[in-house]
Amino acid sequence: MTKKNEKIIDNCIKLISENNLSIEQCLKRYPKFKEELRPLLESFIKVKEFEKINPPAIFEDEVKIRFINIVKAKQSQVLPKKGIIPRFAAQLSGLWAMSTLAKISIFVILFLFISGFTSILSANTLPGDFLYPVKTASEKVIIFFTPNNKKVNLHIIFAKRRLGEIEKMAEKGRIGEITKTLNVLETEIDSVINYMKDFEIDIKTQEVFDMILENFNEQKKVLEKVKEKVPDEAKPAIKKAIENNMIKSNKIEKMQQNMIKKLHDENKPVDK
Amino acid sequence: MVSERKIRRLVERAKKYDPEAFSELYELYIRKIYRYILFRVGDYNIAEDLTENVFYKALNSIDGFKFKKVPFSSWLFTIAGNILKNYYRHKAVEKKYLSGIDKDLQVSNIDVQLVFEKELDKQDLINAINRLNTEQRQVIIFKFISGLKNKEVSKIMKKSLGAVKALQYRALRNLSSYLSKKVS
Repeated sequence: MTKKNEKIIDNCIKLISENNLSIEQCLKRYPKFKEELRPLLESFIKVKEFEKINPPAIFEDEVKIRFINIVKAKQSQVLPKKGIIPRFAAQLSGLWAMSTLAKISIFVILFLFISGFTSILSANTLPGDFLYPVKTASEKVIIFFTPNNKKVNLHIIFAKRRLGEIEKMAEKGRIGEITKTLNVLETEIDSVINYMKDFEIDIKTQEVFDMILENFNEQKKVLEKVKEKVPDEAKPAIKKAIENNMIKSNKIEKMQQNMIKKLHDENKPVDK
Repeated sequence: MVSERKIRRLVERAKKYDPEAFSELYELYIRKIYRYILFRVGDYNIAEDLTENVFYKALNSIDGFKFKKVPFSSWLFTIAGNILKNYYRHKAVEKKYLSGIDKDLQVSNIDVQLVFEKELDKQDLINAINRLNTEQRQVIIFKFISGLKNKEVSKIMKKSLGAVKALQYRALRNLSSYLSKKVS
């Protein structure tokens, strides 16, 4: 009950102080508590009369003048000097004075802007280019934030990218980076196979198998083309990549056959 | 009523010693601080001196002020409270030195009778306020005389909002009781 009274009296004080309600208007809102509230609110009004006491105007003005003079003197001490660097430093200190939330927001916006901008710029880069590490780093970030069951699709996409890069490098005669990129391509394919092992068998898995096998076929065609374009010293690496492609393609085909068999055994529908 | 956002902006400008911002802050709080001090020391001249000190102290330490859940007004009133403590400490030492009596360190009680010597109609009210305990008296001064809000009072007194409301309720109940007894 007391808690309720405390709340009501606080509310009445607010209504009287801020909304200029009279005691009677306030009491109308709480008829049950009228008798108890009245003397309390009357005391409040009496005390509030003291709010009219103000310092002498001459004191207020004199202190203000003295005070502002000190502020001005301090201001002249801290004013930024002329020149680009001091001004920049002053602006930075202004940034520092911002609230933590504002600082974090600015940092996040800047980060997103810069990373987004560099990602766009790096999209068409090839191994050895200045921004290529941004491209691979952003791929790693994407992989990290992607759920496990979707990661296999991403590795297929990234394998396609590597293949495209190898093709372009062969056209441009940038042979030095082809071998490294072939290794990266192998890693992507290995990641695909590893995820397929962990996959639970269902209809969607068959679609993924088809996608992977299609990717292997494409890889084989592209690598054959690349092999024709590159000089002799690069040919063995391409040849090995084609052989690996065949081995891994067979592995995937075997996994697919096993899956189909398992689905038959469990009387589940087969999408083939 | 000035919004908290505007006060924040003024304080950020004041930190860079912008005279206009300081001027606005001064006008916003000078009267509130003065009334608070006047009702604690009960002497116009001392109240003026101490009020001036509050603003100088604030100017010198505004660099370190941060809006970490503490409104600017609470910070300013805390400075005023510290200045009052110092004043009472000096007064107590002076008193002890002059009289040689090692007692009456409770000078922090409000001595408002001095303020309204000529206003006899206010005497009963002042006596009634003086009969309240320290915390109830503080809430009455902060809220009804200096015009602070519950949130500001709670930060200055380091109490929850609920505790401030409870103190306010009890203070008003006691005040009306003392006043009605006086009348009867």
